[in-house]
Amino acid sequence: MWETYGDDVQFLVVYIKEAHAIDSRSPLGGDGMPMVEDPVNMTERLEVAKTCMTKLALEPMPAVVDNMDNVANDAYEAWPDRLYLIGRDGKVAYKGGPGPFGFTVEDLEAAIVAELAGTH
Amino acid sequence: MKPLSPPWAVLAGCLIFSACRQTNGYIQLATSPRAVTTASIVGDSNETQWQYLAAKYDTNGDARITTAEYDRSAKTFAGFDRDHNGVLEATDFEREQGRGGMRPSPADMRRRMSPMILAKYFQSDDDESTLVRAELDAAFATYDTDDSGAITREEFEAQSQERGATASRQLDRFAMLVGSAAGEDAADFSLEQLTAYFDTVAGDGELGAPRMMGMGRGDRAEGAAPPADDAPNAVGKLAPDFALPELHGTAGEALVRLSSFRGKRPVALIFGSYT
Repeated sequence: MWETYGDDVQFLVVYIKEAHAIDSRSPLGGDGMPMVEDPVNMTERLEVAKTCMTKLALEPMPAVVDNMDNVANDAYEAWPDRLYLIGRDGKVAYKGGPGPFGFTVEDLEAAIVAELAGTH
Repeated sequence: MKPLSPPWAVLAGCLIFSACRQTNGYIQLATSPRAVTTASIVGDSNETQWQYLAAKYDTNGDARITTAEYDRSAKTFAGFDRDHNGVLEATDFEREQGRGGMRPSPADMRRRMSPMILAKYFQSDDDESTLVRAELDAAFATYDTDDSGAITREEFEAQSQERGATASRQLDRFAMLVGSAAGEDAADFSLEQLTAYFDTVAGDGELGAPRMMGMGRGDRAEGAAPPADDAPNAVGKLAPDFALPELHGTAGEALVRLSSFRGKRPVALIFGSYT
């Protein structure tokens, strides 16, 4: 999708607080799954974010990292993952459901198409 | 574990390595901790959690982690210390538990997730708030593309993606569902198995789609509009602004402000984390 619409839409990964750090309330990790301790400062969160982007081959995509006050995460109720489209007018054009089930790439694409067609 | 070694080998081992410990009649030689960047919080996904923690925190190589060695949260340490003996050992990580910071077992995950997966991906009518047994036959037929009488992983993944499922590293939907309906070692499940499973989790022949995690519409009359979203991040509202450090830029210097794109181009925000 980024390759298809990247010339017209700014894609931005917003790296937020971990969903399943091994020392969190919902630990997962190891045995083939990413294993991360919960970052306690920006240096650590940046480290994990860079690892994530590298391991998932997302590096070319622009990315920002939420601060340790989780300002962006809270403003967008994003945890554990979520998709939004902000229209050219700066207004929310699409608000996806909370992940994992609400993380629907097809719905985001439909919103992008509508936004670019000027029908949103 | 190694069998009991000849006395000379044990002595040589103790001279060469930093520590040795006798466990259950076997000599287990503890090697020096592997070279780990102690500041790193990212482990090797092929390790177990104990292997990662021991390599990082067991600085004296005695196969135990003390509170002095673990320099992060005391609360986290206590959560790891399942037997409450004041140290972390491999035995603290041998079994999985659901709460208190421990990893849920595969059975726990299936119990929690399979009903939601069933309710989400086997809908056959317009009412997505519930799944009734009558819908299963029609939904099953759409999945069973080779008409074999059983749904395989390939069939499930193809059809569920048609229904909006995206690949998830954390959630193997097929494994959850087949494990619940047909058993952990099953490669597919039949309609009979699926309906039998449905009967165990549905109340009065109906399985409500959960309100959480973007599924379902909760207790709402059929055809009723969804409740108004008055949140500051709702559709139509001016997007909450933020200015955050760019990952690939010089740390602490390059800030990206969301509102800087206003009037120029739409912005697709992808929120998530590595885990």
